[in-house]
Amino acid sequence: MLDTLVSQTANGLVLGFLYVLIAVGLSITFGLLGVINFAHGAFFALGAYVAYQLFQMFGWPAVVFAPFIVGVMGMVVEVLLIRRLYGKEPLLSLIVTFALALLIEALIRFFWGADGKPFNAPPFLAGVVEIGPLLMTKYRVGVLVATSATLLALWWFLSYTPYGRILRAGSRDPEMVELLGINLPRVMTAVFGLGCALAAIAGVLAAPLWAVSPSMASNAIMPAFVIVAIGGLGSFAGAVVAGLAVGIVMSLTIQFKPDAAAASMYVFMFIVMLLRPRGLFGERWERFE
Amino acid sequence: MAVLGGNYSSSALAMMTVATREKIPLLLPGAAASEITGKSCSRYTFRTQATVPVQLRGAMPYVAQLGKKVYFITPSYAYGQDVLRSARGMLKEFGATEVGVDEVPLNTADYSSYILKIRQAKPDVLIGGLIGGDFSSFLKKWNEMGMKDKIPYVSIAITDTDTDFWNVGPQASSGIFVKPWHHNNPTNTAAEKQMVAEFEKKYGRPPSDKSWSAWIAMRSLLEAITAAKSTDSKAVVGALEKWKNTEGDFPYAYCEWDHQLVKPAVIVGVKKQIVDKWDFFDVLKPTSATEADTAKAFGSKEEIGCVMPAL
Repeated sequence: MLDTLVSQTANGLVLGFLYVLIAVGLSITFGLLGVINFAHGAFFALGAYVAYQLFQMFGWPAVVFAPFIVGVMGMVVEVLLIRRLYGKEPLLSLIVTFALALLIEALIRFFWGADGKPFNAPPFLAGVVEIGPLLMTKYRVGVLVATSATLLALWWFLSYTPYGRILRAGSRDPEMVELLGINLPRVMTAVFGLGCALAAIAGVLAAPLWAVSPSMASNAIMPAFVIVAIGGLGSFAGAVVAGLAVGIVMSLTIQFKPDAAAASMYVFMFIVMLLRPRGLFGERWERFE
Repeated sequence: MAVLGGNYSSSALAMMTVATREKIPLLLPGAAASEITGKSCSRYTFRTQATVPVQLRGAMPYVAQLGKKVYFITPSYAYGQDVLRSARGMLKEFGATEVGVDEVPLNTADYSSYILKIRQAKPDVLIGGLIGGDFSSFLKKWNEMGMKDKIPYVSIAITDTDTDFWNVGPQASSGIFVKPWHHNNPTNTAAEKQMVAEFEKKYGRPPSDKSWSAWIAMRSLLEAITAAKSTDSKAVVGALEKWKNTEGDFPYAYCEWDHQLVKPAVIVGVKKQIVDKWDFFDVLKPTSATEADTAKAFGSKEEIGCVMPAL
């Protein structure tokens, strides 16, 4: 039984890391822009499809450019649409981004078709790694490494670089940031692009694991919202802790009560919300008042 | 004057209610739940897809050859519950035992935890019923975790259509499946071969089994309208009840007392070496070889439980 628990917990951690990557982009978008981006899952799906297209045209090395391309797409969307939502009531951003999500899914179907796309792990990451009771595929170890590196880089960027400090300052006091001569609209555009790029990274990493289909966005957006709610809106640390916790909860539920696996993360969210409504690391939200 | 469609059993059952109330012939090319031509049968509904028990009975002899310890992984809704219930009922007959079961919620993206459980249980064979994108995700994970060549996967392919395999590619595809029809079956009739050729010319790929199901349903409807010389609902229903296809080794038709198309399915296995991106299967054998065996496989009126009302 201990072997089983160790295996499933390790598996849950890998799943959790993927969820963290999906959720942290959503959290950053809300935390720094105040926009609840319902289209976040659509950018996740777009990341997978762009990666597939790049792979087909140029091979595996080109796949790394997929997040950058999706990030640029996100920046275009921000300039054309999202910036009109700043300072407006949250319901408006939910409705508009929901419509955006449907639009992106329709565009995916238009360009790539309604059928799924075959996209498997690269040959150099094929095979499994067995260490005692732990069984993990090499690709999932790669996902673990890539996700950890991405999260570390993001944390370092936000905490220690001047641009990261500008992003965080802009979310607290946009008026002061503008008075200091910083072009805030450009900063906001970059933040939205960053959030979309993070979703796309998750999509690229998930593409060999999940079915690449136009509806794959729903597999990402719901766990992302749950994790952001559990961790606390706008909290980077919260998204990380909540994501890992959700992954482990789901894996262990599959072991003991598989038909309740889908509901387990919602039950977990329900319990956390009852005990701490703002989430594990949530703060009182003061901006845009 | 008629409706053709309905893939999920749940939506098909809802459509049947409306079709019966409005007295419109409804042809179901998908939908495998037993009650559609069982206790919920309707005089106005005709189905081409064989039921879960019929297709499972075709698969079980292969399961018995592969081993005695069986693990089930099925979707947690009507169809999956039908697979589990029917297969469990056949285990004793084939000398098999159940070593584990997972009923998986629909739209599950990650199957790694389920596969860890299957691996722990060490079954001889895995009987599945996963559908659509869930099935594609499972196959990818099954291959990724090195299970593809270790434990054989057997399923009835009511919802595992050709497109689910094309979605994952040759690398990840594996298993033995029961399908209503396969485009590359050498025993296909001349009309079916012509349909395949025309489909490939128009769409650049062969028709899936779902395409055939819709084709034969539409063909039967059009031939019934021609025979009835009318589009009146009652006349069309009467003509469909008399419709018969005599192009194959033996004729097949909609059974008069439950409107189920009584036709053998085909058992296929994923090729060891896939070189054609559209042709993943070797045809192994039909589920029944004679007209009498086919009728027996579909069950008697008492077993099915359909009481067909008057028009």
